Amino acid sequence: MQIKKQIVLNKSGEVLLPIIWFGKEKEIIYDIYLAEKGASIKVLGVFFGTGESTVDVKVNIYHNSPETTSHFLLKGVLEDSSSINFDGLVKIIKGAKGSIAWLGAYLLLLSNASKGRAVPSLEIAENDIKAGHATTIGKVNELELFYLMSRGIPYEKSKMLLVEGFLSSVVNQLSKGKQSAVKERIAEYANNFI
Amino acid sequence: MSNSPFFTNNVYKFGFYQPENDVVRTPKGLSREVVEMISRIKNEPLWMRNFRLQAYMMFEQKMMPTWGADLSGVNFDELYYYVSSSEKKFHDWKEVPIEVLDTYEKIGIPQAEKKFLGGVGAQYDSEVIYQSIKKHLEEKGVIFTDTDTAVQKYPDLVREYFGTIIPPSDNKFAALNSAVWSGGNFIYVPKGVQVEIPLQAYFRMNAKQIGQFERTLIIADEGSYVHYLEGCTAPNHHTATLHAAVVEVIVKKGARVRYTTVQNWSETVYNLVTKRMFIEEEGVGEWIDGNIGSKVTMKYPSLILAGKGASGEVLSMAFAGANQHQDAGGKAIHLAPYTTSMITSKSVSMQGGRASYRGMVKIAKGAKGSKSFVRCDALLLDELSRSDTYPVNIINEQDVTLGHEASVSKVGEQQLFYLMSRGLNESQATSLIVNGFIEPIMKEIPLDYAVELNRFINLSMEGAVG
Amino acid sequence: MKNALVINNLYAQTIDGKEILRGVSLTIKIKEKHVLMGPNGGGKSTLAQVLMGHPGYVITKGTIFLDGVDITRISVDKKAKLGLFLGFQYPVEVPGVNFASFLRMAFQEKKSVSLKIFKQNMQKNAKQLGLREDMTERSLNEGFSGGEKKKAEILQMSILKPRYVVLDEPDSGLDVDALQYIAHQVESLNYSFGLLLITHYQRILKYLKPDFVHVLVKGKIVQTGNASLASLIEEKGYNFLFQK
Repeated sequence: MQIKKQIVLNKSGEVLLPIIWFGKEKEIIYDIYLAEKGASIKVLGVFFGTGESTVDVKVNIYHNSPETTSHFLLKGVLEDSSSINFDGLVKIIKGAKGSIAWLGAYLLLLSNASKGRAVPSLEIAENDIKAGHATTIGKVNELELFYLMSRGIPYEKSKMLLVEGFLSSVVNQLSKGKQSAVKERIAEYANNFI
Repeated sequence: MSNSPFFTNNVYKFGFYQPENDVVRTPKGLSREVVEMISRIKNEPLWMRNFRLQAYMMFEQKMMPTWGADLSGVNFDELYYYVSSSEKKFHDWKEVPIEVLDTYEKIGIPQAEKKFLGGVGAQYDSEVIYQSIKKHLEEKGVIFTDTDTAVQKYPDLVREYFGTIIPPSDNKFAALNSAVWSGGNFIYVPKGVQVEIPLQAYFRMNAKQIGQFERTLIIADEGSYVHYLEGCTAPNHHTATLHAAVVEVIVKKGARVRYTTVQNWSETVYNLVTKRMFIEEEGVGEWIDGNIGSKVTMKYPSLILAGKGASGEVLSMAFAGANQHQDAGGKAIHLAPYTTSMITSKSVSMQGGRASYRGMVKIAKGAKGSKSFVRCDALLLDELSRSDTYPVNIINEQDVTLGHEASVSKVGEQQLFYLMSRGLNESQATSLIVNGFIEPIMKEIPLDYAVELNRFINLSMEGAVG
Repeated sequence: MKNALVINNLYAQTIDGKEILRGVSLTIKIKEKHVLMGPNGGGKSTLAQVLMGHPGYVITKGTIFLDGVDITRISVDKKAKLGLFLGFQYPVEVPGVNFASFLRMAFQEKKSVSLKIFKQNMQKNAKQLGLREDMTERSLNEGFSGGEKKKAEILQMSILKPRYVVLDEPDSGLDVDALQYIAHQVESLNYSFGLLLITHYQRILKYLKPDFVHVLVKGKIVQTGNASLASLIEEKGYNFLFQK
């Protein structure tokens, strides 16, 4: 199953693009064009992999106009032997002065068979801009887990608390409707253990 | 205005070149016969000749890379793959031919010799002429010689490691180097020996259309330490020159190797280098890479963290001025548990220069408890410049930590304003800021080179800013 | 032994093999207040963390019994449910995890409670500790100042009512007022518990009177006394002990 979309922002103003994956799609491709001065996009990705689900995610954001903004935040949680393959490109052309781009991709590996690949790329041909990206890939923080368990909360529950905490910074920015849908899915999954 | 500090009246200071007085040179272009000729001239054992020939076949078969910088200007048929200025090796300044001495005088090697250095292997065209190893190094059992000599004198040692870290099949330019390599340094540090003095080498390309294919092999046995330095300059010519080097470093258990390069090739050079360190248990490997010259540089110093607790660091600095493309970065491959890597890249682009960071961190399954952190920052000084970042992160093991951060920006207006409000002009202020930006790398570079780099940057600012 | 936390000849090292505890023996009975002092690097914090089961350490020898149950190697959450509590010296921040929800979850492992009642109770305790009410609405320890973090540890303790409380330097980084608050809270808890308080500065002892004072040096307890031992050390320093 594939999602392939092209988004062209032709006017000033912010557009919110949620990308939510719970294992169904195998490929997600977005080409986003910030074509007009002042165009701005906020991409919020919530990814939750279980079983053997894998997904190739490609997001290309093109800043083709001055004063365009892109803010991309992806958080992925991978259980069992699921994996995410992420390629993100932010391209700022010459003349796109005053543009701001930020890309963050964070993956949490919950099992010893889960895997992640993240390649956040930047191609910048204009100097009067600000761009940055950050990626972290790792497992649940041992000390945070220890702390929660030291209060009597069992391992699985503590882990899920941390997973929810990890995703919260993205989830809390989604629309109310989507927030509940996502929280429900996660709770459903958590109940398998608890 | 050119981007090099060594320009006076627009003439590259080191752009003099000796009228060609070369003794031996292979015919133009590359072929099996040329490869055989090189091996015969060097009087090599059969195993090395065969190595070269096999590598040549691979070179023919391999494709040019489809990624990276534009290499369409490299014309393999137009190069001379071997040029030697003399057949003898020298151990004393007095034995070196006058013209060669003259060249060295101009780039200041005798002064360097006066300073307290361990040994200098200097390369004139494709042959290492002058080698001197200080007595106490010899006494410690440290071998520091050119690779050609090492093949003859220490065949077992060389054969054990040569081509094992970077096999000819690795990429087209490694195959090329493996076929026609000449010169470069061979270093062996015995167990437990700490070489306190940095070992250095200078390189130089002289005759037109010469390819530079030095091959360096460093073996640091268990518990040893060595710091190897190389700084290069090359004369300016209109026709492109190719520098395809291979550097293999083996860091054995508990040993430490630091390899510092400051490259300032002239703006017609294609600088394509494959450098890799294989680090065993508890070993430490450090690449310090400064790229300020050349037309095109493609160089990604790599760390193979193969043993438990191995750690490595890559500090890369790239400065891209007009018509330059620095495609540099670093690679860290974690194969064992509790390994750590850190890659820091700082690039500065101006006047249409293009600086790209290309990197890879791969953590294999089983490399539990490993940590990697990459920080790559780019500074675009003007509207004409360009910066790219291509970081590949592949994690196949859950119990690890990987972090990566990058930022791209221009010189901060606030910072500039602040400095100028204290009386500095724009180019001075920009210099200061740029120096501050690259400081984490600069502070690891030995003083001589750091001074050269600083002068370079300040001069570049003067021409470009304000 | 019931009604006691018995640490017997405990040896522990870091996971990369550095030995820190070298045979610690200590018995803390319900209603007793023990204070552990000692020079830096002696292993005080390590003991606290090892008791709770910190993943960075390994127990190589010895045992820990709580109310007659061997807890030496059981999981961290089980130790907590049996009644052990550690007030951390540097409580970790857990972004995205709501303080109130988390504490209620911990509480509910032992007993059910409605959210409303729980919050009321928690806010009352928070107020007594001088913590802002909204603190409990935030993420666990996120954005809390050093002092607030310490108070939050005591708040958790007052809600969970553990039988054996280990407080790891609750006084470091706090001003006098905060110190008093904490000491007061601990003294005025309305149930019986055994306390092991680890302190470096001893200032808190002005407000909290110990029954026993122990000195831990290089992973072993070298001296045990009563409250006057603490005063002696404050006056003459640790070296004085070694001159005997």
